[in-house]
Amino acid sequence: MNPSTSTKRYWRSLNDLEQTAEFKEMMAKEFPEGAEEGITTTSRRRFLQLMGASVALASATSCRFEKENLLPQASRKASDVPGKPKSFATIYSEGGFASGMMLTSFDGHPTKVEGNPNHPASLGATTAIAQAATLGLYDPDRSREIARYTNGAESDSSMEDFQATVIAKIVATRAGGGGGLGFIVEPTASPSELRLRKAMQAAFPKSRWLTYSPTANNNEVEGCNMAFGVSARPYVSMSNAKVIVALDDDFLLEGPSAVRLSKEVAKNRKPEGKWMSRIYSVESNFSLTGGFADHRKPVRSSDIAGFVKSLNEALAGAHADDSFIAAIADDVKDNMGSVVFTCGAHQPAEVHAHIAALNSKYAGKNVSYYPAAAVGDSMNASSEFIDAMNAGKISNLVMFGGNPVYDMPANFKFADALAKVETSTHVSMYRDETSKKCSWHIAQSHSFEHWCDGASVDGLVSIGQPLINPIFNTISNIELMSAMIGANESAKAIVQATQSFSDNDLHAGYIKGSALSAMSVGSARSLPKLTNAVNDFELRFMPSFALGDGRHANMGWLQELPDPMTKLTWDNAALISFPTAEAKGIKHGSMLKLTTAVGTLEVPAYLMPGHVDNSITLALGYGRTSAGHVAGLDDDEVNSVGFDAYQLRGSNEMNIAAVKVEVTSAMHLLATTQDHFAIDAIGRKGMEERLPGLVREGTLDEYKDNHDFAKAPADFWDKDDSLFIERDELKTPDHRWGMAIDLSSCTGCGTCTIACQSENNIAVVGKTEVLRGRELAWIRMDRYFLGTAENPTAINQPVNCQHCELAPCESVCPVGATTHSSEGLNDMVYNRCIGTRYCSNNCPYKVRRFNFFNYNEDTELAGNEVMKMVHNPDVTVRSRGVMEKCSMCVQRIERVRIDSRNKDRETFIEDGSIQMACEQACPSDAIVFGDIDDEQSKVSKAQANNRAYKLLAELNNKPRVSYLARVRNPHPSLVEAQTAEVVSHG
Amino acid sequence: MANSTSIDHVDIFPEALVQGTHDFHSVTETVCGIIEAPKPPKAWYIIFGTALALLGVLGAMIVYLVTTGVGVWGNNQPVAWGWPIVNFVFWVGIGHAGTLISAVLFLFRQDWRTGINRFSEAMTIFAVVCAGMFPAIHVGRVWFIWWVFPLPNQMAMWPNFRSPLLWDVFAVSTYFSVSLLFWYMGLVPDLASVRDRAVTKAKRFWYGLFSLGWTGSNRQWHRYERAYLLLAALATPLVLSVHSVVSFDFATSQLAGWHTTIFPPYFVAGAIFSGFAMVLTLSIPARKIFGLEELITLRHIDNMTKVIMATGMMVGYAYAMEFFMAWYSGNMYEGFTFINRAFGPYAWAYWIMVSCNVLSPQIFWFKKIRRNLTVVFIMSLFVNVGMWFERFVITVTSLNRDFLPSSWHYFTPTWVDICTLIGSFGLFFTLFMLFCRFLPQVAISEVKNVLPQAHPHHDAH
Repeated sequence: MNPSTSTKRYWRSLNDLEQTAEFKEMMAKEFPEGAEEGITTTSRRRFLQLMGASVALASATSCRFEKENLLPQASRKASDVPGKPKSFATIYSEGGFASGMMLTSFDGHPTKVEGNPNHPASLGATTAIAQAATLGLYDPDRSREIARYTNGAESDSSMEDFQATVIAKIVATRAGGGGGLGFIVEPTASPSELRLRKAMQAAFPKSRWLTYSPTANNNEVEGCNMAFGVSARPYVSMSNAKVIVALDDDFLLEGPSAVRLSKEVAKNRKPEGKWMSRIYSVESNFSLTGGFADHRKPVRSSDIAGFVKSLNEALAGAHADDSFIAAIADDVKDNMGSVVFTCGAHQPAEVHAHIAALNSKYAGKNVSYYPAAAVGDSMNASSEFIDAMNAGKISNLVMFGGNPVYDMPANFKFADALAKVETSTHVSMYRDETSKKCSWHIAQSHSFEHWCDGASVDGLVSIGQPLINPIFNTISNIELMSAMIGANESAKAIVQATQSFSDNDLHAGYIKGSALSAMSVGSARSLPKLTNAVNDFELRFMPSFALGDGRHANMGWLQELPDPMTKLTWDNAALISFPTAEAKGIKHGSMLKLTTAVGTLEVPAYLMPGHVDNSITLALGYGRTSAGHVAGLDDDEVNSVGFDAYQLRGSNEMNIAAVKVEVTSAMHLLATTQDHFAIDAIGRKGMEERLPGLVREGTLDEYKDNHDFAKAPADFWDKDDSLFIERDELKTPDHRWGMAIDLSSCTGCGTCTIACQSENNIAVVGKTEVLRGRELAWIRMDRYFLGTAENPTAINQPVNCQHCELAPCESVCPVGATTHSSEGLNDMVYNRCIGTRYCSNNCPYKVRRFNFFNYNEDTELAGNEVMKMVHNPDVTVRSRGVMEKCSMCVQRIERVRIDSRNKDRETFIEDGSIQMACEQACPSDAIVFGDIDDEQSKVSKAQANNRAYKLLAELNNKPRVSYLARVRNPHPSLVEAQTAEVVSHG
Repeated sequence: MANSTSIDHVDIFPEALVQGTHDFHSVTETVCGIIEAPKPPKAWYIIFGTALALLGVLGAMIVYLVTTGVGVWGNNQPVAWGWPIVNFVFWVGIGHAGTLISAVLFLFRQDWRTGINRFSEAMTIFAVVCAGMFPAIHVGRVWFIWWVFPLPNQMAMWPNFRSPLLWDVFAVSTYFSVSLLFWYMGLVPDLASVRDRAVTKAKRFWYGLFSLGWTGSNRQWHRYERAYLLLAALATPLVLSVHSVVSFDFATSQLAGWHTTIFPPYFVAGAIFSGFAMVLTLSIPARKIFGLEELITLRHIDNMTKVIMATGMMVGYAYAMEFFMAWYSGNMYEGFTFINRAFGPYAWAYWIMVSCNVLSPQIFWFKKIRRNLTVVFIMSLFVNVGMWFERFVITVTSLNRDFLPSSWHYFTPTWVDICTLIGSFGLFFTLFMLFCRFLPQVAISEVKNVLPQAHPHHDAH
């Protein structure tokens, strides 16, 4: 189809590519089971349990610690229109650092998270996790009440009780300096929480403190310490970075700056621009960044140090045998001052130190440093605190957040130590693993329920305003801390006491000018020599891209969000390279017995293309036993989702561990949303044939030679060639809506999927249904591999309804339930749909999704009354038997249209005033929506771009969605090498 | 020309359509005797009992389905149509032989149809009942299935007349009503015979009611034969139209493997093929159980196997043509679909289809085999299986690997799928067994018409 890419070989998973005897045998007998476990049998029971709980809740809305009305409205303000949403600026913190959000609130309850376009850490976009924050707010599994545990038996208690029993005791120890008191907190950048912690430390000077989070990492700060002698945190800006070298760092997906970096990087990935950045990724697992990079090299996490050493040598002028390193060295030479090196948070401090040194030489102003202490306190995961607990030196322990019983290093045996503490209190949103081992559990408020503050890496302070009164009988960390020092202030008073802010700051979402000025760190000192960690087989722990360290495990949306690279849902797995799997006799789905210095765990193997050999990557955050009805709850016989990697994690090997791998005969069913089934030779050949036409890509040189390199004959089809009058010409619509998706910008992170799920009330279907291929995502992320199994490249393609002008789905519906709007939208009339599913059969993009069951009522927690508050009131909740699909957020179009008409402007709608949920949340601005009749609109320009093509244009469905071909910017010396590789393996 | 054992006769003249030494009276006795016997044969009880049990299974499956959701089946994305649609097309196909035998063969003056036409018409009605059930229970919201009918309503909402599914609704319901009418009309004189012979009041009442006051007068016979001819002429195009329209469900859509112009004739040939096979499956045991060997003779069976062989080869031609066109069109998706069908993950289904439908009927080239009832019976089962798989192959293999490889997904049926299919046989055989017990299985008046006694002058044409 496309001559420049026709030699490329695409495939979707390793099984496609490698045709081993075992694999063929597996193909022959493959009839996956497991879908029999009806979603109704167990869920109805759970549903009733939860309904019972809801009734209990209704009678328990009694005594809160301190009552404060957010918006006391005896009479409605003139500006308030019932049913019309309002938007408020607030914050959402991930990993301790805050990002600005705009929350959509309907009649007093928040339903949708958007990024705050003014906030420098958000720039209007969010992560997938932030998108799911409203689901967390309304999670019926959240703890609703203070609980007391006596000998393991749980009973509801009250704040008065807690105050009388525990707080009074703590206040009383003040005289003695707080001896016997212990506090475990999480790293945070919240100024108020930091201020209160200091106040507590001052009030109880003898108290012991532990700051712990399983994924927060000090290594970058320590690295800076080594390099410059100051405790600083690097702040990378990629807007002007011409060359980016990522060392085992998935900077587009992980860390507090992922959203901002995605925005910055994506801007420089368009061939139309003055220049295009080049990205190198050196990594053990095939990460999102690796897929987005121009060049990727699989290197074990423990060998990154050695790689940096070789790189240093090459940069110092030595000849590099490795063409990859030579290419980087070459690029660095040409782009002095605009080369950015980044390094994964899990890499040792020494590597970070070297990276800091490299950046100080080559990055110019693209990397700045901010004092670490000023923005967040650092983690100390020493065993000192645990020893004190074991020795009985801590008699009264309070844990603010976190889940140490679940996520502490296994060798600390935290649960045993906790048992030795006389009075232990856990402040948490869930009655989780830790709460159940304590004597007290305090139900914690969601950050949207109380005043809070936070800071970004550069120290910019943001104020979080509450959107709703606490739904349950909960309290925030800062209010409780205030009570413990006897101040008993409200959250608002605390935040106001920490810093003064104006209404304008509140409206903007952050305090202008509060960012710190960057430190001057000087040039790097001499650094320790780098040596590779010696281990035969490494195990790398990685935070789950969706569940983080496990705290988001009970979010069904996130459990069902396919991993960007593996497409795995509802599980974590040991990612392992194909050659290693072959050498060890490991099959896809084989249960592996992993043994580290501290523990043993059985996990399923996932054969991951591009993964480095002799290495396993395993996501943390799964295998929860007391998370809730979604992720696992032993008390209610709900099985854990995934496998608890913390059992393998020791304090000496928190990030990379030596591991012994044994293969068992057991198999595990992995629910992926793509490659549901292994692909045989014929399927593989079919894919090779068609994929170059479906996901088009080329290099910058190809683009420069021929701007139309991505066009196929069908793309030049002219309306005048048609013999009959086109539908559009029959009507004169006010607008013709269209969309363009730039594959050069799309990183494949999946935020659009969750944004859409939140906006459009899309149900979660569960693992067995995903195994059946019944997931409901309206916009899905297709991922294809190109090249060899050892080191392929990847390309992502978001696919939503293409809103074809000659929609094949419309003509086949017997009841006319899917019809065309005059403005070109393919509308779905749920009320009229009887569910013949013919439309789905006739849709070549298979973007239509069917409600095989009553997913919105019968499954897990979906029928819960609290959970229902998460729904967008503007969008119908679909019942069973009804087809659904992307509506182009028609509710958003109509809202803007109504506003526009009210303003007497009739049909005029400003370009950009309507944003699709996916478009708005996209961290790399890959999606543009608008009126294609307006020649000046962004979408018109994008669709007129030379790179634009329509998916399956040859079918003449005339989609309204255009894709812009992806352009890579490879280093010339590596292009030949890569081509040779594909040919030799092809 | 009575005795078929004479080799000379066999070679020169067609065998007699009624064997043995039957006269008008004995034909009536043989057929009516089945209805009038105080107790049906033991085999009837066994089959009817089994069928009733399976019907119960079907009922249970439908209740489970309607209360739970169509997710109880194996349907998924992208295979949104699974077994229910396969079963629908399968049953509609079976429903073809009846009208073909009674109407088309009637118009072509094929006298041999008289022995089997009642039988196969009944089969048609019951097969269409089974077929019609599937699209109805297949939809996501069964309780709104009536929306597919063009019922006037205050919102002026009409079905979408562009949708082949709607054409299906019209085609199948027309076919069903015409077939039912045709069948019932043919029954009227025979029902009158049963009424006249009835010994109980109830029988007299019910058969009397349904025989519409038939007296057998000359005028009635005259009207009857005119009407029969007209209905036969009306029904004939339906034989072609129903399955053509059913094939439009597939042929008019965009999916590679469905989007092909050969479908209408190919589906019609396949339908006749499967319909005749089902007539054989039913008549071979029935003639034995009810003692109808002299009315449904080896000649009938011989003729039917020839039709099966002919239509089997048409179907085989269609299979080959699909492949040729997929290659000749140069369409990559089309080409892939067919290679994938024959050698991909569903190759097993494809080769079951080919061996049952194309290869196995080839043994009917031999007369000995055409007249070996055991072999013919087994072969008829093969064809039934093969034709079910044909529909499975068309529906599922095209859908499971369509345009975008990211959507590809293997389809596996659930136990509900399997039980529903088996249950539909329960429905079919329950109705069929009731027919065998309470209605004349052979068209008495028509058979009498082909007896030599009906033509005392030997009708020298």
